[in-house]
Amino acid sequence: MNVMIFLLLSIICIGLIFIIHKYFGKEELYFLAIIYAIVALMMSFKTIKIFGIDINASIIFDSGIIFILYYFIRKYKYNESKKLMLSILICMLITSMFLITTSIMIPSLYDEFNFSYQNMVLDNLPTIIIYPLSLLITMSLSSYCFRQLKEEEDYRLIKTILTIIGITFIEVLIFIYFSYAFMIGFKKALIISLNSYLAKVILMIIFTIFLNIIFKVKKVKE
Amino acid sequence: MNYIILLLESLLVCCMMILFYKQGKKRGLYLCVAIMASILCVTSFKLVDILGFQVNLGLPLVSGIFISSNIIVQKYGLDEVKKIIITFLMSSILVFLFINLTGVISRSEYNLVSNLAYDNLFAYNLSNLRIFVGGILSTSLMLYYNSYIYYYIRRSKNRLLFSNIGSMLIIQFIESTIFIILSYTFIYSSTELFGMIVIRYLIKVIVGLVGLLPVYVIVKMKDK
Repeated sequence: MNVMIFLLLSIICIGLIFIIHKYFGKEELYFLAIIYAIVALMMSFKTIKIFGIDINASIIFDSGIIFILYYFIRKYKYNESKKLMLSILICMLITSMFLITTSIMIPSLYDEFNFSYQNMVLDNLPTIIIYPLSLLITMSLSSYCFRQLKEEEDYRLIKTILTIIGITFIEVLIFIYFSYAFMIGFKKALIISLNSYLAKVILMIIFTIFLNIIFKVKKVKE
Repeated sequence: MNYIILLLESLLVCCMMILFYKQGKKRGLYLCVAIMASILCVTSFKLVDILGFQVNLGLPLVSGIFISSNIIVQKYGLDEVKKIIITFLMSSILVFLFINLTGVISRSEYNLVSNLAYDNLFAYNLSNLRIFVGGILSTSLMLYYNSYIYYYIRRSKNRLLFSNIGSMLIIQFIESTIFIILSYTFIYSSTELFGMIVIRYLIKVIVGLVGLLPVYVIVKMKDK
């Protein structure tokens, strides 16, 4: 069941990019990036057990954001990818601010979810602070690397995969390791980080291959 | 405390609209609608106490969606209504679906408190589902009528203040009534339901008045 849902979410994540590539345009891709950013931030609050290992749930949609950026750099001008990164960052900051402010409001006596809501947000305060920061660093690094790769002609797919493996390591180190280190200790954080890194690298390699296939599919709307 | 936070959130919504408009013009406003709808899917399940009545969180966001819609209709015409509603519905449904699907996946033993809280909040909780359905139905329906009322007041009076306040006073009351009835009937008594409708309406009207600031700023800005 867990594996099924994980795979379903991964297929939806890359599937939506494919649908937008084929039938829609740039505006809809902006919209999708914003949705993925908010979903990834929310999912980062949960650690899931899948294939017997513990990983952070945000890795699916986090990968989706990086691939939307990759798509933008391949298809549009650099200025557009800068706008996309800025939009994602502002969206993350606003969502974080809303989560924090709403969690400190004095709740109603009848509210059965208040305790869970406060636990979820306030226990994950390091995640809320570190995640937008790590995403900014990852997106900036990815943007630079993808622009360099755009000029490459030989072995572009292999070079892209190697770049992604490196960027994922930096992202996992900054985000997952440090945010969990503050919450559950350095040793446990290391285990989750390594597991998440392994899962994310596999997922990103599959996504890269799919995205390169997607680029070959002819668009309905130019 | 709650009043100060509500005011802060209202100002945050206003700043977000101006910022996104400056960055992306019409696209920026649509992104604003998407962000506000997405955050609402997370926050609207929590209740806070205002003047002794229960009020859902994220009311500045609901008002923000209507304000953004008014600005889009004002600047780009009535044809945009369908796209506004689709943006709102798609972002709400996608975020709700993804977040709740993750809630179904078995949690890890690490960071247990947070995992339990996440599963308790989401994971297709039936009362949450009711609030979600109430929210998207009332907002999307009212976004449609709001745009027409806004447009016709604008055509007859041609004053920004009249069209904004006029549409807000009518639409927000109907929206509050539909939302509270759909989400909380049989849970609270009729007196409490009435109080919840009135408080929700009043807060949204106040936030709407604060929201006149970005309306004026954005409408006066010129598109390049």
